[in-house]
Amino acid sequence: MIPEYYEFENPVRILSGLRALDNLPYELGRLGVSRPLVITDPGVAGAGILKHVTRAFDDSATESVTLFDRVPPESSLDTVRELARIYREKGCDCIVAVGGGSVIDTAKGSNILVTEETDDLGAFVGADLLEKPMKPLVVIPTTSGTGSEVTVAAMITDTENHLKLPFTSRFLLPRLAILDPRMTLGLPPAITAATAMDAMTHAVESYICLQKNPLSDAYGWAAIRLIRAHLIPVLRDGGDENGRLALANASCMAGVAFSNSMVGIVHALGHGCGAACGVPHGVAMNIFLPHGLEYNMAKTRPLLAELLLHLGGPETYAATPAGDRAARTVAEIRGLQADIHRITRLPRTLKEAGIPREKLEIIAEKALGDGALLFNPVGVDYRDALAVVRNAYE
Amino acid sequence: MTRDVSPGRSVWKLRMIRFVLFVFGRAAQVLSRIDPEVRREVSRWPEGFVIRYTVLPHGPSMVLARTRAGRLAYRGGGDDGAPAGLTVALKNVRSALLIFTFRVGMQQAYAQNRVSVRGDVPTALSQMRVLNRVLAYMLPEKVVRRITLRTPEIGPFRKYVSRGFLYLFGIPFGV
Repeated sequence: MIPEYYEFENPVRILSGLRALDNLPYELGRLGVSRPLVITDPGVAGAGILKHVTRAFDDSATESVTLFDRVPPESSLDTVRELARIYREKGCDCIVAVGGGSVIDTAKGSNILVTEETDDLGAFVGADLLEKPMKPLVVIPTTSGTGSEVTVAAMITDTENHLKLPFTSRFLLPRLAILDPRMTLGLPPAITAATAMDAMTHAVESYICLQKNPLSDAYGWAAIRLIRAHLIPVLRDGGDENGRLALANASCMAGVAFSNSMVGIVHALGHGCGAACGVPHGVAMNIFLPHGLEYNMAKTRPLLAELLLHLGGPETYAATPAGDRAARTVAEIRGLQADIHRITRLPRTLKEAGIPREKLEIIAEKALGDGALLFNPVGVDYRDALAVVRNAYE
Repeated sequence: MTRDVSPGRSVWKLRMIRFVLFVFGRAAQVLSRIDPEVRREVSRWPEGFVIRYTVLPHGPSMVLARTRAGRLAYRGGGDDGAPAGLTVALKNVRSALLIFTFRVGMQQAYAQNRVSVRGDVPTALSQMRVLNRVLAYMLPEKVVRRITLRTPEIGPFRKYVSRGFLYLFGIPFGV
């Protein structure tokens, strides 16, 4: 069904393929920049994959490359400020983020400071408070899950005041994303699974949330099919380059889908769970996804039924009576969860994730302040959120 | 053939929107005193927090501020220069009219990109819950069911007594 009205935007140029990184200097030239600040975290630096990026600059027209490899696991205000200072001191003219969600969010935060020529990031916390195009940002993801390379959001931690600072603006969208499977080959199975389930959640929620539209649907379907086909083989053989590239593409497409249709209760609870208990986002998505879908079932049954075609394949879809398809979609997700668990021991419940029962109320309370609830197809109050969290406990 | 086209300006539509903003602002002010749920939501906002509802590009606007006592104060349509912690901007007059004639709910309007929200996201959600509650007091249940995802639960006695108070005293006199 076509919505009465919708908007869709994805201006990010995407390069995908083995050795796609080799074109990085050429692409910087197209953007009119040649002094990148490359930022990453110690994990990426230690894994030995940064060489694929630095070697790409060999024999290129790039004037200088400044490398910062100390981004902490959670994007912090201090690091954002330090990077802005380095950017100015070294006379950089663009940012290249090499990493997962934290590195990409840090890059987006630093870009705000250098573009707005300020050190006060607090002035831009919230929705749509940026008013001019940012410096060119290139993103090279090293996980396949967040989709941050094509999204309008960033989350920075104010460690001093124990606050999470959310930023959303179309100006935060990178100019270029490079999906090169060499950057995710060494990712351990549990992290591969958690991040892929994050992407799966983006794709599935994008299909049922209030801003869904035909274009986001197409991206979501494609992402679901790629994850369904390639996740388990990649968990069994981490060196499967084709599978890794497929998951990177799925993550990117799911990012485009949810950036345009938004996400709902699963993400709200996941963010609450991360804030209250420090559960990694992908793990929380894996836990909450089937429960969130069941919560939304009454209003989204036909949509969930359609998803069975992509999650279960045409044979399963055809063999399932129309009235049972929505429930079968949730069962397929639970089946995928079980397969992942057998290989990686990725938690399927809050109990398995080590969350104490007394934290459940706090998770529900924190979820209520999450912007994702604005787009959930069913209204959510505290009691509803708590009921879903309790269902996800064991 | 070329000719100049002067953009029109619909005075009546703008007056209608200004009137609904006034009614909603006064009702929110009163309900932040007498409804426990609205009071609870507003008490969590920072003291002095200002929300501006505006229709782009030139208004009308309406400003609500959180007072020291933890209630809402309707500050009228004027711009007193106080920086808004949250701006809820309707992108054009037609969208505003759809919302203020209760043909489209605010949450649906967000989903349809008819509204631009600038500022603090948790407070944006909280004001949405307040808005839904205000509507539940002011409008027939059938309309509220159509324009909200979930009808706020309010006991019939409280709802009808408060509705009477709102229309007879609260909205006209701001008490």
